[in-house]
Amino acid sequence: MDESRRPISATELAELGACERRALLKLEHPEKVSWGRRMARRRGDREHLRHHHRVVRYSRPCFIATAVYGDADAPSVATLRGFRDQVLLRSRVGTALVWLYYCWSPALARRLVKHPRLCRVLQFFLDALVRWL
Amino acid sequence: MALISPETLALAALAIAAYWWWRRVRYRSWQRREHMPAELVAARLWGSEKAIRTRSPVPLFGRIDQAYRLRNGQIVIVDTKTRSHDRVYRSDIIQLSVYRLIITHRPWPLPHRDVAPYGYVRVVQNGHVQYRRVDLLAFDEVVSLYRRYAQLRGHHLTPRFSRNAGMCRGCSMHEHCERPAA
Repeated sequence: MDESRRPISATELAELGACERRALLKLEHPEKVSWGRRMARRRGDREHLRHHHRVVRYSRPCFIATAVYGDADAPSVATLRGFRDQVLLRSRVGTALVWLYYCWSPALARRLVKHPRLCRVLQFFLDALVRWL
Repeated sequence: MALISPETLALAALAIAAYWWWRRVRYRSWQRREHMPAELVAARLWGSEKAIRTRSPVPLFGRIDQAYRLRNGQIVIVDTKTRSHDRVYRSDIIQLSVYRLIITHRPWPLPHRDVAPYGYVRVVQNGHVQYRRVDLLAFDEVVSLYRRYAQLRGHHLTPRFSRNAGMCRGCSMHEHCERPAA
């Protein structure tokens, strides 16, 4: 691949801000990580996951938006939101279904984040539903 | 005879109300512990642990920790760093600036977003959380960084050492580097 058009991650580019030499050496040599640093990284990963769960739980976003589509503004999510507001919330049964959905969705979202394959399967069915709607 | 008595219904309603009140109390207490900026408290979560990528103006990808949509429609990016000291580095600013560029230039059919020219680094230090507001780099600065990195990888440029010589002491690449530790 043309080096000037190779996709680069944000973390990789951020390394330049610390030390350019280290950023390049990391590409050529396997990184030797000390036990202390490994533990620090593990703590960081745990904090990321914990915060993600908290944010998802408290902000009550649609689990489809956060976990399956990864975007609260995705067109499919807008269609589903419209279905919720214009069809489901106009009947008692529909309202009860929406309530149930919001009871269970945060827990489901937490599990979906850990299982990208399950997300893809669910996305396939949701896309079919959106096409039908 | 009614299937569900009015007393049962009243109890269920009470239980639901108590549950929502408990959630609200917990949420407020969490926000207090977080020391979250007022604008983020009022904002709506836009994405969390979300993978993003773009091809234009340069191909970049990443995974944002959190992004919030403010009331005025702007997106504000938040990145969590677990550290032993409450400090923000240039690498944090670059990382957030790259996310900003990606979200602003997401490929079609995803809608383009107006991302705030600042972001927050959520520094977690021994369980204590602080949100540090940082001004982000302009898009052309990010693009020139990308080009510089591409040139460095192609060995067209000589990489610079860190300005902070003390950083070399704990560097994991120390043994491969010519610069003696400070």
